[in-house]
Amino acid sequence: MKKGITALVIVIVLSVSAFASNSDLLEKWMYSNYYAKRIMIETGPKTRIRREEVYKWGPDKFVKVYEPVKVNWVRVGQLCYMGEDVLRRSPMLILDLEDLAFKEILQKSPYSVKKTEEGTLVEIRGSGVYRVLLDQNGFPKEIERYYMDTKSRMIYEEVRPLTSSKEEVLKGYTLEESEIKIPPELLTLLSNFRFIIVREGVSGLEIEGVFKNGQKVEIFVGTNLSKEGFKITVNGIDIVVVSDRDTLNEIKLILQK
Amino acid sequence: MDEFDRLLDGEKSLEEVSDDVRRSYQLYRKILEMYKVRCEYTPSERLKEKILRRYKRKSAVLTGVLLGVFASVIFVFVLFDTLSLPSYRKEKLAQVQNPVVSDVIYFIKTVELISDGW
Repeated sequence: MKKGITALVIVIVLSVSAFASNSDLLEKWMYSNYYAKRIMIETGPKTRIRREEVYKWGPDKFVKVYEPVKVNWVRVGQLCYMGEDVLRRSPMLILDLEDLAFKEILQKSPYSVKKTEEGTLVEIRGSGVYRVLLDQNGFPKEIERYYMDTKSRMIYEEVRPLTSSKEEVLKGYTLEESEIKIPPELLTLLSNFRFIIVREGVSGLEIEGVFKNGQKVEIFVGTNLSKEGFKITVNGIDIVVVSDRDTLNEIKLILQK
Repeated sequence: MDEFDRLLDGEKSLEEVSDDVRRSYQLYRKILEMYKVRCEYTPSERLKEKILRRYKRKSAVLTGVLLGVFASVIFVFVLFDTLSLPSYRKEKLAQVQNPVVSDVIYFIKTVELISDGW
């Protein structure tokens, strides 16, 4: 009997310590300060490749994107800025694959942590499956996401602890508070998409994507649009949404809130 | 022919050669004189001007025609580009001039490229 109790205690202690060390590593990752070069490759209905440098200070982040466009973005608290040398306030948060993985963990999506030869593998099952490979310092080595037939893979290189402060790194840039004006209705719509493909079409901007209910939705943004669909006009900008009747009803409800 | 050459070389005088050779020699001298006259001919300034004027007039006409064709092509191009624009191009141009729409297009296109989700 005594042996049984001792074994149970040992199992509990080991489980608790393993959980604690796993949580420690996740916490280390979330609050880590690092600099890295990274490449994001996405394959699926659309293919994207991005090459960038990232400076991370806990939840704050500065990313210098080199490919496919040369642009910088910074997130400080809940504020995001985007631009080249002068970074304008972004009307919505900019999140990369790492931020989305954090979001899943914070939203209590189930996850598992496993030690491997290459590092610690964190698997998160939320909206999509995330696999994050971390080193012993809690720095990411690779982040993968499988989502709606799309595989996104972020490969980190030259990851090193970041000692420079935000002020030092951002001293050559101007953060401008004048916000890029985007119709709030459009932002609300976009935030309900699972993913989007954007192209500049003949009548302005054409956004095609999968809505949160899994249905295909097209949004046309421009002036004097003659497209048929659910049309709203905000500050002289026409937004026409084209989808099936149920999805359009759902969209109308979302916009009424 | 041999006799003619000797006459030209001065080995024989005109009296010493046959009548045929003498006639050929006179013809030869006449041709030489004609050729000399032809070589020494210089056209008068008036003729020169007349010829040059004709040439200049021709090139001016050609230049005028070419300029006319070029201007017509430009005119037709501008006419089609501004008056006969397809409606979708008109819309696009209108949007390019609308800074709010340009901002929206720039923002959404860039965010789509640099972010991985919402």
